[in-house]
Amino acid sequence: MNVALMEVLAVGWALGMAVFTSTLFVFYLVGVPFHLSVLLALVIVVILAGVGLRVVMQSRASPVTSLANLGWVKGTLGLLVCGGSLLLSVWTAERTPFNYGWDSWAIWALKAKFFYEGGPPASYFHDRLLLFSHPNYPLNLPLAEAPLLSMSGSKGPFLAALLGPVCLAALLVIVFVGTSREYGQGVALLCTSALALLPEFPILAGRDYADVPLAMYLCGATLYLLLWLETDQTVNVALMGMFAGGAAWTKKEGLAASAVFLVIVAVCEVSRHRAETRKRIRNLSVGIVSTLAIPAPWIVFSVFVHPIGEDVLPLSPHTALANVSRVPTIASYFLRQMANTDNWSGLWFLLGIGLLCLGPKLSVRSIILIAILLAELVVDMGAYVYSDWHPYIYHIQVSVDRLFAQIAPIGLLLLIDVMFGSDWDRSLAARMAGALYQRRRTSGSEHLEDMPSA
Amino acid sequence: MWPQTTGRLVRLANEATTLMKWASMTMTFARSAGRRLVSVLNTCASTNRPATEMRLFHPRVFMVALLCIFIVLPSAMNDLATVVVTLKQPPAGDSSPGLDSFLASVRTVTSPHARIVVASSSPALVFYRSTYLLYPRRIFPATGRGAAWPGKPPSPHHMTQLARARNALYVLVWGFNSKFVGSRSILKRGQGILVRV
Repeated sequence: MNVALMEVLAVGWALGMAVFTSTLFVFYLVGVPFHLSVLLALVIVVILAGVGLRVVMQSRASPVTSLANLGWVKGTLGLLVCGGSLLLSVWTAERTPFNYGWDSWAIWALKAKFFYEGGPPASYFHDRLLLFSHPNYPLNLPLAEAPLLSMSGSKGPFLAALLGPVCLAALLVIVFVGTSREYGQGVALLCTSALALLPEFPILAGRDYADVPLAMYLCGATLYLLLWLETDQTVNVALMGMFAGGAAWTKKEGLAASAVFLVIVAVCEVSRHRAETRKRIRNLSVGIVSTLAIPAPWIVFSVFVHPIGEDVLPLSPHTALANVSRVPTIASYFLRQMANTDNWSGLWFLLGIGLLCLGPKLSVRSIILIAILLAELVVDMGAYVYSDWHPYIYHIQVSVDRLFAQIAPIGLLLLIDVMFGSDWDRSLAARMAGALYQRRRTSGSEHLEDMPSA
Repeated sequence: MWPQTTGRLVRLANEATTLMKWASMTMTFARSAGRRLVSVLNTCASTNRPATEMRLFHPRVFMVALLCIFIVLPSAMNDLATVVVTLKQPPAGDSSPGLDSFLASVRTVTSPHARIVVASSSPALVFYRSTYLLYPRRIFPATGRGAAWPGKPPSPHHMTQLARARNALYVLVWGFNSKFVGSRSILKRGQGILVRV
């Protein structure tokens, strides 16, 4: 097993699922029977994956690194931690009731059933009786579950329930590959293990909430955006765009998030000194086209059909101004969620301390990660400013932990980059680590004999 | 009609002006942020450094390991607590097999375009399972918009009235006793009754 193969598998799963479901949706709109459209979509995904793999592999100049570099002790420990978390999520999925969660398993299964039994009628998207099933939500997960649920017997629901854990596994692999490229496999393993053990993830993945797949897409987009900034390879901006598109096709918040990524790409590209304008135009157009490619059928459908929804007031500046007094309350709930160690352990505390210690010495990667994180927080706050729940505070209480699950991997990436990408040696944290190391060294620990001086 | 249209146009113009202001502010911010990033980004392209594998006991890795332990330890304990709690509990019953088999029977005796009013002592479960298992039949909850929440079972008279109002031919009752006067019970199985009204 090598890192490149892991990257192919994880990226292939994430983007393959999004392309597959988007193609299925196009076939539904055209009127192709469901089982035939599943076969055709699979063929299209396999062909696209082959072409994509060839392009990506040609662009990777670095030699393939083996996981054997990690050493068997670290490898086994990491496998145990990540495997344990995945097992917990599979177990949760197996024990989660079929009708659990009106924003997760119940809704996806219902929509999946509509699709595999001939597709929902056009009236469904305006049916107030079925408003609880959110006809205006994007259809990535329901369409991914539909072929599995159409299998007879109990294996269909079981396989469909495994989508969440598989997306969690893909998220862990994407984080491992992305961070090992920058900091080496040892640190990447620590980062991945910390993410695997954040308490919310196995539970949300097991209960089939869309927030774990959305976190997978957002984290992928972030890592490929950073890779594009370093390597300046167009293929990486294309991958970033496809991940951002996958986010837009998974959940409504994903659409705003994908716009954030496009703005960051545009700002970075415009501010980069470049002799050839052609490459600048190519990068920008590839970013926009790849971001729009996956959710385009759903966006066009939504513009023409206007599927009805609840929860959100009309998106206008007047509504925002009328509800601006909600912002302090929303901010206080966000802070309370960050301080919730049951959900997030010490992640946000540590990030806060890290930023306080190293604030003036942050790397470019950290600045971009902070920009993404802040933009996502603003988007999430906006969701509650426009909330149509009465009282809106109840809306925050029942869903704010899931919104934080979407951005927690980016928070962890920022924490790791604050530790490694900053002017570290002069910082308070480095002095603390050095002091701790010296103390252990003088106490005669034989394991530390070969350490470099701090 | 004209005053209304003019009013709408004025409102639209106001909204467009506000949006333009916001867009202009965003553009100004993006430009200044972009300029500040110029120098660092230009160096970024040349810092395609290979990932160096650090030793586990390098102080920096040691510090991160400590921090990760700080992240992981409470989480691991929390996960362990979840596992223990879940082990002690029996699996939550999502749907009684009796309800599913009753709904399967309802599916065989009703046409695919039938309209059915459902009532139950656990309305969320029965409304959801009926919508799911009886699709494409139209299901109407007897407890109105609050179908997702538990409520008091409605009376047979109310259910009959509701079925007529919804142009539904059937009333499905699960989990409580109801005596429908002047209606024909066409299916009775377990705790469920299907009545033609």
